[in-house]
Amino acid sequence: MTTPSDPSPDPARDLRERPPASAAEAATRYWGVIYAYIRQAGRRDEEARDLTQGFIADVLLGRDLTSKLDERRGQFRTLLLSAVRNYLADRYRHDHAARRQPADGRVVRNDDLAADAVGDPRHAAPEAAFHRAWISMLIRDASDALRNDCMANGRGAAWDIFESRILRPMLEGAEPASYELLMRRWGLDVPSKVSNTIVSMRRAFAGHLLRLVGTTVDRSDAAARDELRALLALMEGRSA
Amino acid sequence: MNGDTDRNHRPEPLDDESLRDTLAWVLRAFDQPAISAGDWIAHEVDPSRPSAVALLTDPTTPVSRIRRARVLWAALRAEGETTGERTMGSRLAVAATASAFLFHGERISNHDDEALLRALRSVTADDSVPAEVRTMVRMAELKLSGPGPTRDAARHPSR
Repeated sequence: MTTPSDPSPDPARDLRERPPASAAEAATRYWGVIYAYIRQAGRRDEEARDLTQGFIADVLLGRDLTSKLDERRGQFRTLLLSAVRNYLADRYRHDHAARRQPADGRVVRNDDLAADAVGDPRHAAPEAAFHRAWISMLIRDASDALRNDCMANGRGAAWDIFESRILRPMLEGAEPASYELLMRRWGLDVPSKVSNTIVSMRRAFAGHLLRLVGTTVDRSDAAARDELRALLALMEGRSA
Repeated sequence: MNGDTDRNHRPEPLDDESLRDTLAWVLRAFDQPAISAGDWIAHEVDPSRPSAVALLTDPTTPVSRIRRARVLWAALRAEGETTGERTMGSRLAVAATASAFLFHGERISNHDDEALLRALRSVTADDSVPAEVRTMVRMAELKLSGPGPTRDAARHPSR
């Protein structure tokens, strides 16, 4: 089994490690992140889905928010977060204005509003939900990119070892596959073949994640690392 | 906008600990590439002591795990992808020998005393090795050298 350090280029690798090519692609990519913020802001599921669709149509696509990526105006994450926050505030003002002056003259009551504030109580701030979804998106995309890379380059064994020992335990809490099982499965004669593969694949995963983060900042490694640090600080409850 | 975008709704976000841990080790891979490889191997050997420092400086680490780590670090020395990884693999394999000797009184390599002392000194002289590991290796070096007259002098009184 070989464990090359830098897989050769292939189209699958490029697919995720660039900014979304179209607004529609961006809409798909960022749906979960936008929804997470809106849902945590206290909107019930169905309403949050509608608002997410509305934001995508009115702002992400309507105002071509993703073009800001190409203009390299800094972190797309914070730009998107501000846009969602403003959108919700606008909608809130709009809805309340309508409620104060209903078209048919009746006073509309919506007592469901309070009852529907069902955000995850473990993460009170919508911003926290947004960031958790954002980082989850990046990690899943990095995993997908690495898997595609491995499959395109005949490194299925390396992918399986990494997925079985590191990725699934890390992301799903799964029990790591034993060395004995992996050695038997892939015909490896010594445990160090497994451990060195894991070292190689961790590096490859880190590289994919850095490139993905780079697509949301200015694409330089330094900026991507700074953004990674900022994301870690957010997860550790430090300011970023 | 066709309204179908939410069909692509992503899975639930990962839990906070997974996110933190992943970001931390990815960052470390760039900030300290050589020792991060050593730490990943330590994690493979003993997830409860997921760094070279934790594995090697804990007197309660079972010697069987130190032996296993030594074998894997030695393989990193031979097959690591970068010079830094290979050097760190070499240093940590020696440090494992030191840890087994210091905390368990066991010799887990086939070095003779002089060769082992030379190897230990190569570790303590290398600033890329974590300070805690170098301190442990220095203690092993002192234990091997023995108190008072040097072990070499005792073995070679005519010098």
